[in-house]
Amino acid sequence: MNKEPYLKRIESYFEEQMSVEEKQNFESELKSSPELSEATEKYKISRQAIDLLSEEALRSKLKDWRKKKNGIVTINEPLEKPVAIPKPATKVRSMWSNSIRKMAVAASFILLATAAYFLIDAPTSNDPLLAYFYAPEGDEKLRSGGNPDWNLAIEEFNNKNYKQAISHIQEIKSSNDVTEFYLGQSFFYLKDYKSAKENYQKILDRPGSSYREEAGWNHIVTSLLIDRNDEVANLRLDRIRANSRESFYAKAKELKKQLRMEE
Amino acid sequence: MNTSSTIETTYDELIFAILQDEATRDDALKKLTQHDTLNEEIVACTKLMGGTENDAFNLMDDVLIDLVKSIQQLAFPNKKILNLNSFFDKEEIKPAPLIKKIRTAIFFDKNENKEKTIVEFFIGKIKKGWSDQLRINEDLRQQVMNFIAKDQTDLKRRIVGKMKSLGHTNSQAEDIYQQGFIQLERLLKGNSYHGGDVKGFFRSLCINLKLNERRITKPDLPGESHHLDKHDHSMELQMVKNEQKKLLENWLSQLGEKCRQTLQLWNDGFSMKEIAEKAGHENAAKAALARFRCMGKLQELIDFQSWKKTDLA
Repeated sequence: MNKEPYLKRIESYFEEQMSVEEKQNFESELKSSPELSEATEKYKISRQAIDLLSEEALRSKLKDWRKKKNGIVTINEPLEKPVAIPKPATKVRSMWSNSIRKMAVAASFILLATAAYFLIDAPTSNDPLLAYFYAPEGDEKLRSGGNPDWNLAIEEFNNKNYKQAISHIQEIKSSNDVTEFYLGQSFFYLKDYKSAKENYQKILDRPGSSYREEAGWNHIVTSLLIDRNDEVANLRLDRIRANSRESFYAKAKELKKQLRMEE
Repeated sequence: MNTSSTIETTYDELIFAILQDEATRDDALKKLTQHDTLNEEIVACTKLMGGTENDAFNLMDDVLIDLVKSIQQLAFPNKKILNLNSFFDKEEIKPAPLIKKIRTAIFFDKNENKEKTIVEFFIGKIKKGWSDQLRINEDLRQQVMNFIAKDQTDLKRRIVGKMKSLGHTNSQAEDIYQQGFIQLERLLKGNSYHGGDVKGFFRSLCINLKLNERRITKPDLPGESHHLDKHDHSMELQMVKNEQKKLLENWLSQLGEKCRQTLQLWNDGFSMKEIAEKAGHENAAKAALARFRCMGKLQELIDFQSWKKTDLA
């Protein structure tokens, strides 16, 4: 079937470029010709497709304007990514976190996590001030799952054998925000701040992660551990400090105060 | 909550701007994306619902794009093909009654019998957008569950305290709290949560679990009896839209970049000369030919049967 004549006619019809007579003929043929009818439907679908291109272009503009207003790419936003809905959970995550029953059980342990928040051994670094501000992992995230490497990894992590924990996590084939977070934490405790920062960055590049806030905060702290004058980290710190709704608002205020005292 | 008095765009101006031309529309939208008060309210609202700042801005962008589409649909009801760049003809006088009609249709709250402020408008849309996404997106539900699970000091203390005040032992109160977790995901997936403070929703859920413990599998929520069984057409529609979007993206991905750009520029109302310059065609005539061929190619890529299946979904 040669579709070009159809396409020209269909476009003329939709662009209101037909005479009254042509329009009547077209509409009458539309009723009797399945081919023309299908081609017309396809034309409408293709216009929807093209409109999707325009929508993405507008979406990209909206993000650019917001970026320009903020002056920087904010820590929480991989702004150039257009999709609002996060990627589906990967296998590793689903092993332990898709079960609500497990979460219910985990919930009862979280009071312990709150205590752990204050009691956890701060990593001994050359920079104890910054290390103090580090956001530790919570106990609720340390449930074991069906993957043997993950089970070994959390066992080693809990026993503070961070090198072994890293090795087991790296054995897990599909990485996700949980594995990356714990890799980041492990590298941090081993004072490999560059690798820690890289893993937090991966989480920040993925929309919808439940570790986003902690990863974002630890990204700032590791950046400052590497370089106190890291401009982006300082800007991000100021941004959190300026917004009382931020989870790490209090920490950011205190950290800034301490950094000023150091100067 | 802040009112529209802090937003320097009246609804009439906004509607005019969206229907005027691309540059004017973009200026108006830019003002909104860069408005501190609006952004702060939207981020605060999204965080209360267990979302992130990134989620907030993505939701806001969805609302802005829907707003443009809605205004154009109301302005050009008879136009056979509408796109994001459907504007008034330059010479055309913009009729005030039409603008008023659009303003009423979009911004008037019939229940409250008053016009919504721009912040109220956005917050309402964002709540709906978020609760719709939670129904169909397991990963987002998990994010919200984690958000609640993390709050073990204030939230749990309040819930357990309330249970104890109703005469329960500590262990009974803990049990109800954990039952609440088990129920929560199902309710987020159903038609019970309509946005807003998700921790407050969880508190109400726990309290109602107790009050309805005889039929604990289907607890009533305050003021929302038996919503769970209600057939949710908006969710079905959203799922169909998502399926269709995937198909469209798949077909578009099979076109070359130059083809996609040419079609987009044409759709955005650029002249063939401008399209030739921007997309790298030799001249306007070649751009016109390329546009027509790309359109034909796209139509060939469309699998009509797959599309019809989504309509039946």
